[in-house]
Amino acid sequence: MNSIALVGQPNVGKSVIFHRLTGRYVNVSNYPGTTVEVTRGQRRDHPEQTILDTPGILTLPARSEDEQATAHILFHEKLRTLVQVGDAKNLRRTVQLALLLAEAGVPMVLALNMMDEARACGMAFDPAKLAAELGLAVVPTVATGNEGIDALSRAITTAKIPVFRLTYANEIEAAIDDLVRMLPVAHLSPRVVALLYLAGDKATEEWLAAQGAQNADLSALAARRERLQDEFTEPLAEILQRARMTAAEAIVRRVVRDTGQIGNRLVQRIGQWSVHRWLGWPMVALVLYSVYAFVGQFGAGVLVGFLEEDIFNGIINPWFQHIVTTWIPMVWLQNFLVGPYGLWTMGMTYALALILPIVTTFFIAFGILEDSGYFARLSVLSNRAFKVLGLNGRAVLPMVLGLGCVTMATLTTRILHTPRERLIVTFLLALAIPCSAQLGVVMGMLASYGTGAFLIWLGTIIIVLFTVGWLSGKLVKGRRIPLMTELPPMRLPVMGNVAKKTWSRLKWYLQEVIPLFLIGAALMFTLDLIGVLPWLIRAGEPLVTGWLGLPKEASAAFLMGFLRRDFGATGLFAMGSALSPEQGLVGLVTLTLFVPCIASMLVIVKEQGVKTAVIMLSLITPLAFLIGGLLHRALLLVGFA
Amino acid sequence: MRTLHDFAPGSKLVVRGFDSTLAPDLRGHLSAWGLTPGTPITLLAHHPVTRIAVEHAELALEDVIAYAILVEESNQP
Ligand SMILES: Nc1nc2c(ncn2[C@@H]2O[C@H](COP(=O)(O)OP(=O)(O)O)[C@@H](O)[C@H]2O)c(=O)[nH]1
Ligand SMILES: [Mg+2]
Repeated sequence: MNSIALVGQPNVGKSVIFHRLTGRYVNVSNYPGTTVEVTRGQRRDHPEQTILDTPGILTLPARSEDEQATAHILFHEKLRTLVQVGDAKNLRRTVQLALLLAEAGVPMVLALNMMDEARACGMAFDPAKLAAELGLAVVPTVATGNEGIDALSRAITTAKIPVFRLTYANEIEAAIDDLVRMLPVAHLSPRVVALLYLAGDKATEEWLAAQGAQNADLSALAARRERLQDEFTEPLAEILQRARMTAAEAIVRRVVRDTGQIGNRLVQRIGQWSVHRWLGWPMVALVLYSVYAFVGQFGAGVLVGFLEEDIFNGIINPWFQHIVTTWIPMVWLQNFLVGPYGLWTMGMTYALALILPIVTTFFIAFGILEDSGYFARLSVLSNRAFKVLGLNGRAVLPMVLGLGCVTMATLTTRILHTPRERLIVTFLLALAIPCSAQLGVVMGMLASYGTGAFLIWLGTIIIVLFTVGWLSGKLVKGRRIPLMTELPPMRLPVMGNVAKKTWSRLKWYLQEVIPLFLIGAALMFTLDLIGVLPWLIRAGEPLVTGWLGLPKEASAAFLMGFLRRDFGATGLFAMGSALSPEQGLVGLVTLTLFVPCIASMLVIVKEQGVKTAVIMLSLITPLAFLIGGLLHRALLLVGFA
Repeated sequence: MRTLHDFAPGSKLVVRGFDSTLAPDLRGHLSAWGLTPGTPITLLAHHPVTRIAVEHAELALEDVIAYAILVEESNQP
């Protein structure tokens, strides 16, 4: 009874408001689908109250899995207050959802967010009038500028159940009356449960099914719904939605003066260019080049050079090796710390001197692009390419996010509309999308081989991505859904947010990746010590040496790759000049395609089930070796040295 | 009835309905975005995919969908 839920459409600022109200930072980005699970936090100054940040819902009934999570909350959590966060500049849509939620029988507040943008569009509001129309408190806010948050907090404390009722058509009202008598008691008003049930909401049906036969006569309910549906040619969900849109339209006309001017600031014009049929492409090239210059040249070149050469190899490592060899008599322990597989010399040096600067610059560039809204706008240009895979441009978002973290991106597939799309994208993410940590290692290693090697790596991965994607598109049953998506507005990135995001991702890297590197190094060392490693290396020889053409010691790297692909790549890195550029390239391509990390494997199991996960794994590993071997032969053929 | 196909970018239009060829689930999505009969929209572009503005939100729609949206010219300035 002490939870307060923030609900509303995607990308309207719910997570920023959550952060303001709780002090707890959750990922904030300028695209729909950043929040795919419910997050909880304690309310500031009211620690006994819990605030819930929910995935965005366009309207109810829910149409995708992330939306269903929000519908689920409404049924299963007894809410103290419902806070709808709405985008002030898209008032019809905001009011349309409010018209439904206001009848839920829960104390409610409407936060009219993004007032800054609404004002910039020349809209003039009367919040008091809107409050009167809806029978609830309306608070204008600018979440990013901390405007109106105190007023919102006060309104949350004093919120009341809205006195509001939208009258639908007579036959609908009659059906609602009948259903209300048949429905079991819920946290929500019977009227809203009836409305959701009529619209065919899945969470409502699941909740009803769980109430037991003595409480809910499912067949009688279904029959009543059927009878109402028979009176219309269009689906009930649409009839109800249209009734709310019409009512919203009328209300909006009364409370807002909209000059209808479309903003023409530079950022918005850039937003238009980014999806323009000709201008869009040079922009992609420019963005890619800027990222390459910042991450590849500055991060992997300048920063790594400084940290690795000057700081680690120049100062820290000799000093540390000296201390260890002086103070520790046991040779095996010396090796454990500063030997070839040493915790410090291999684990920490690579993690801190090599990968850290690369992932840091990458996270900064990534955060800026995320916040600008550019990623989601790529769905327009990429739609044609995804069509080949039997997908649509919406899939670009999880794919690009995979470059940050494949695990998170696998969760983001929930924004896709069908299970078929989710399955294909999840598989491609697991197979061919390297995450930031791995990209870091790959870039670091390829940098020493030159741009040609980088392009071969990239080209191979892209060819594999499209060939396998095309095949899966053919094999996975179901029809292709044409592109239909909302494009977030282009915005100037909020630097504070980019900094926070970069820091929270770096924390992930430091807390999750580095310990794994260390555990991995310790494991390898132990296997080596007890003689298992040499045996495994011999066992892997036919594959690694015979098929891939790598020195047999590279087996160790693939073994490490089972822990994390990037760790495996680090293992290759550690071999240094024992590998020719050709061998390094083959090894990296194989490892890029290699099994996904354990965390993302677990998420795949959670999202797709054990069976699918096992099938994916058993396809991916042989495929990685197959491609690696083919590349090896192709490179020999063209005489790549 | 005319569809989005028949107008030039920049046109101010009003949604009138949907062609019967449009799959019900796709129609449902459009209605969730607020594209219901009576909604004013602005056509922004035809390529590489059709883009429209609904209020201050921008939607991208592949041709099969865009050309199944029945519209007429808005009589409001
Ligand atoms: N201009 C402006 N941008 C905002 C405001 N509130 C949030 N944003 C931005 O809108 C985007 C979406 O915010 P987020 O909290 O992730 O939305 P959610 O999807 O509803 O959780 C982010 O880029 C925010 O920085 C606001 O009041 N004004
Ligand atoms: Mg969010």
